Formats: sequence, C-alpha cells, structure tokens
Amino acid sequence: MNSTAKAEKKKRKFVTPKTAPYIFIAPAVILFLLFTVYPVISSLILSFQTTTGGVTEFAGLDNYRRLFNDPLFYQALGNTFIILIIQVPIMLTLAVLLAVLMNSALLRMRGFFRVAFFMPAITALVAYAIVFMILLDENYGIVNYALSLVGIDPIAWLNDPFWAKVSLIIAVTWRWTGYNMVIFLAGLQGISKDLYEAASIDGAGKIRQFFSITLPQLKPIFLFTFVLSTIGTLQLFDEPFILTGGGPNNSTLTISLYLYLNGFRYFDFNYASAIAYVLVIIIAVLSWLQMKVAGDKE
Amino acid sequence: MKAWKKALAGTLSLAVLAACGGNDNNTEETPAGNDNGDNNGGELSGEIEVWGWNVAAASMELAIEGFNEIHPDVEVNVQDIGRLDLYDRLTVGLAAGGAGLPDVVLVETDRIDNYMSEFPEGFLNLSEYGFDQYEDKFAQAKINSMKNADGDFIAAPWDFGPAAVFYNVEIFEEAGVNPDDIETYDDYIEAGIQIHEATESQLLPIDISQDDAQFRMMMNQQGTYYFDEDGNIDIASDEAVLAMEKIKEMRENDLIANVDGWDGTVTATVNGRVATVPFGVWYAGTIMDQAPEQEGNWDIFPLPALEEGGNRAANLGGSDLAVIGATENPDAAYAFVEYFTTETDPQMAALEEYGMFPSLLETYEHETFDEESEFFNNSAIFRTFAEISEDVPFANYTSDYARAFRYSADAQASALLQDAEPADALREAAERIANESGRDINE
Repeated sequence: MNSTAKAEKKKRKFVTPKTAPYIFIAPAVILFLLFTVYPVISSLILSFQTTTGGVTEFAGLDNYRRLFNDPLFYQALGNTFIILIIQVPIMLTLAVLLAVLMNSALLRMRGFFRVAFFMPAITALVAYAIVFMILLDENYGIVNYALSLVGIDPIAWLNDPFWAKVSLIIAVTWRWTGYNMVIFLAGLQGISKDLYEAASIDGAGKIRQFFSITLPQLKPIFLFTFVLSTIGTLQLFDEPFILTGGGPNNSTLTISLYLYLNGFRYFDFNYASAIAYVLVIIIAVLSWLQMKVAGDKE
Repeated sequence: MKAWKKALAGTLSLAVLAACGGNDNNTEETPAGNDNGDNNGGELSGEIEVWGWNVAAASMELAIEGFNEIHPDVEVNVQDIGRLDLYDRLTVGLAAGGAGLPDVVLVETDRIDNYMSEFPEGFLNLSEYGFDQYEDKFAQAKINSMKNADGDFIAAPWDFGPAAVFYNVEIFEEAGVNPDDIETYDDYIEAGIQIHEATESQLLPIDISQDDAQFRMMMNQQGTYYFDEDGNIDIASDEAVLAMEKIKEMRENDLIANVDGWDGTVTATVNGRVATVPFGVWYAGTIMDQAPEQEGNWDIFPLPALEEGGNRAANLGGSDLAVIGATENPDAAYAFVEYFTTETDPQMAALEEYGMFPSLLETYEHETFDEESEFFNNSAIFRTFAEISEDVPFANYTSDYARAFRYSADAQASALLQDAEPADALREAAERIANESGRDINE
C-alpha cells in the first residue's frame, strides 16, 4: 500500500494538469521536427550546394540558374500542366455527376457503388499500376483486344508520346474520381432540402435545380477539391514512374519524376533539392491564386 | 516540469545522434592495408550480410558452403533484394554515410563508376586488402571498370555479359534462313525481312522508349560507347550514328517488336513473336527458365558486324561485388568477395546452375564450357561466349552513365517513334549530357 502510494505521489510530479498537454503532443511534435522540419531545412541548404566527387561546397544560386536554363525542366513543367489542365476538370465533372447520382433516392445499392467508386483511391499502387500495364499493353493488352473487335488498329498506349499522356490521364482519373466523389457527396448532404422544395414549388425541373441550386451551393467544395487536385497533379509521380518511366522521349516526364531521376538516378541531390523548392513555390502560388480568385466572389 | 524537459531533450538528442550517426563511421575508421589479403583460414569470425538479386543472389548463396570450409566462423547472410530496390537503398544508404547498408553489395558493372565517383568514401578500397594480385586473372575490358581514378580496385569483377544473337531454330528453318550466312547487320536485316514474310515473326524485340541495349552493343562492337576512353561524349560519333541508323532501318522494315520492359521481351521471345534476341549470355538462363518446352529450339550466332569483316564481339551487362566502407567486419567481407570472385568453384557452380558467366579467365579452361547444351541445339554455346569475351572492346561507363543511358533511350524513341534523324537525335542527347555533366563532345 505504502509503496504504491509513494509511486503515485512521484508520478503526480511529472503528470500534472499543466504538463499533460505537452506530454500528449510531444510525440507528434518530435516526429514533425524530425521528419518534416529537419528535411525541409536540410534540403534548402542542399539546394545551394554542389557535390563533385564526394566534396560538397556552397554554390549560391547555381542550381537555380541551371534549372531555369534546363529544357527538360520546362518540358516536365509543360507535361505536368497539360495533364493538370485536361485531367482535373474531367475528373471533377465526373465526380460531381457521380455524387449527384449516388445521392439520388432512386438508386439502389448505394453503399455498394460508393465503396466501388472509392476503392481505387485506397488500392495498392503497385497492383493498380500493374493492372493498367496489363490493360494497356500494346501487344497483349485487353483494351487493344477490345478495340480490335470493333476493327480499330492496336494503339501503342504507353509507347506513343501522345497516347502515353492519355494513358496517364485515364489512370489518374480512375484513381481519384471516387475520392473526389465522396467529398462532393458530403457537400451535397449539407445542402438544405428546403431549397429544393422551394424550387420545385416554383416549378423548377431537376436540371434547373442542379444548375441553380446544387452547383452554386457546392462552390466551396469545388474550391477545396480543385486546390487538392492541383497540388496532387503537380506532385504526380507514381503513374509516370511505373507505367511509362517518363517516356517515350520525356513526353510523360513530370516535375516530381524529374526530381527523382536527378536525385536517385544521377545522384545529383543538390539539383533535385532545387527542383523541389521551385515545385513548392509553384504549388504555393497556384493555391493562393485559386483561393484568391474563388474567395473574392464570396 | 523538469522531467518532461529531460525526456524531450533525451529523445531529441537521440534523434540528432541517429541523424548524424551515419557520418561518423564511414571514412577514417576502416583499417587500411591489414595483411595484404592473406588472411589465415579460420581466424575470421562474425556475421556478414550480402545484398544481391535473383539468380546472382542465388549464386552467392551457393558459394556459402565452400566459403565456410575455409572460414567456418563467418556467417554469411545473403539477401535477395530486387535489382532497382537495391540501388535505391544503396544510394540512400551511401548518402547517409553507410547507414543501414549490408557489408557486401552486388553492383552492375555499368553503374559502378557512378557510385564510385559520387561516394568515394562509400566503398572499401580492395587494393589495400591485396586484390591487385588478381589483376591478370580477368579480362582487361572488365578490370578497367573496377578501378577508381587512382587505379585502385573498388569492386571485384564477377560475371561478364558477352553478347550474341539467340535465335529460334524452328522459325529460321520455316523461313529458310541459314544463320551462318548472317555476317553483317545488312545480312541480318535481309534475313529479318525474309523471316517476316515467311512467318508471322518479327526479327527482334526492343523496348524502344526505355532501353537501348541493342544500340549499346552496336557501339561497343565498334569500340565506342556513350563516352570514349578519355571520358568525352561519343554518343553522336559516326559509329554511334551508324548504329542508330541500322536500328532505324530495322524499324522501318517492321522488324522490331516494340515491347514493354523485361517482361515484354521475355514474352515476345517465348511465344515466337520474334525470331531472334541479341542479348548478353545471361539471357540463356532466362530462355531455359521461361520456356523449358522449347528445348533444342534455340541456338546462338555471334552479333553481326556493322561492316564486312568488322568486330562481332560486344558485352552487355555483367556485375561485380563491392564492400561497403562502413562495414564493421571488413576482413570477413573482403574474404568473402575474394573467395567468390577469384576461386573457380563458386564461378562454375554459378555458371552451371544459373548461367552466370564468369569473368575469371582460368575458368574458361573448365570442361563445362565445351559441353554441348541440349537446350541450345546441341551447341557448346558457352565456348562461343568465352571466345567472344576475349574480343570485347573496353567500354568507358563513367560517372555519368545513368544520365547518358536515359538520354540515349530518349534519342532512340525520338528517332524510332517520332521519326527524327538519328544524327539529330543523338546530337541532342550529346548536348544534354554535356550541359549537365560539363564533359566535352567529341567532334
């Protein structure tokens, strides 16, 4: 009895109502410092250095200067933006339409469909990429087989500069549409039923209701998904890495992939860090712009 | 209050220690030049970890028993890690000063220069352990890639990849083509056209946008590579342009099956979509493994020459062993590398079991080389490969190999898929490499 009382007394010294919050957040703070703050600072320093033959020295803005004169960087940037501009609108449109469908009282087995559409977002990346490789293989792929049944010549999905981009867009859309759909679904359920009732009393049809009530009410959700998708696309790496390796002839090279190649294939960690920082700045500016443009009207 | 501060400070300092720990143990601490490699048997002890991939890892596994007869107290632990995963982990580990790495790693010959120059302290200097005494036992073309700028051995040469054309006997017979008549690439293309007309098969598989193996072999045959012996960029040389033009000619005649990666190559090989596969000797094992039912249906002939009477020998691939500088047991690690690369037994076991072709010259006298292989149409293919390996010109891979490889594949895609002129595409590749590496382009 005596000893446990002592222990309790001792314990009370460490964990007081005052210290408890700090103890609780300590693990998160430590992990954050270690795995976020330290690498962020470290890579900033790296980006101002060059390494030759194992010797690292300060190089000022050399890496950045090189970056702005690097045609491949611009090509990667261009590819990324082409994918961004085409893919994100397609995906968000699909996501909204699916969300409205899922929200309909007429649809049966809604739970099943919701899970089915969300599934791609949580599928193991490698499994997903391999399935796409099998589907899109020029010679043995099922997509080309299906096309051949209707008399279309095989398409070199992953080996043609144009179709490789298309393949990436299809793959990314498949993976993230369901994810965005779920966000829209949540947004739809936040729209008051009264609005629809009032509208139908005024004689508005379903389509009119969609454009005059649903879409305007979803605006903040649109902004949210748009910013998230923009950031996600700018960081696009997995699909080009596994499906096309950035090829053919760099037609699917994205900024993140270029960063990876420089760091882990060419061992140019300094240059890779510079690319990372430029990417961060691009993302920050774009996100700010989107917030600004959308926020003003509100 | 105090206690949580202490706890926080403790954790943080631990973390900081962990973060910089890697830097402390990579450089000065490895003992230099102990006893010139003549380690007395049985004295060594401890455990060493070895990283490799698929059949190469399996070959090292085979060698453990023999090694333990000499050094019974050393426990060797071979890990089979995927090839590309191994490189990623090796790169990160070396960048972290050797943290998290094993004692011995397998590295492909064409990648060694890159690692060596970027992480000069990352690997043990094998010359200081006496590896120089084996210099004459290996083909010179192989040895040159193992040394750093000071002429010291950083890696120990292991398997070699003399190249030849694997061909499908049945398809050749059906098309009425005699492989002995193929001496130049023009003959090869002509045969390809004949085969393509007579059968459904194309001539050879190439992963156009990602791999330029055919192009590299053709450059190597002509005594050039991405870089010349002085390290200048040679990818836009006349020889290289000629090679790419031949490849483009094959494409224009619909002789190239554009495949996706390794799996695509293997599939095209075993299902008869292609009649030939020009590749390194190690492909023999793959065909036997993937298409056992095609026994007797394969054979080889040397690579065609680019011009009448030209060199028909080239190398593709091959790998070597290096000891990580941060190893805690350098003597045992070196002993294993020495045993595995300079003794005949482990080499022959690897050849017989897995078709890993040794670069240790004395093994070529072994009778296994003259054995006729039932799988390969009763030819003594390993004898042919041994003869080829004697004539392989040196290829200077350099520290910029990875970049050059990538831009070369880009040039190939541009010439074959986007119809650029080979000379222009290669010129662009040369300029990109020059921009990023600071090397000069050969005029």
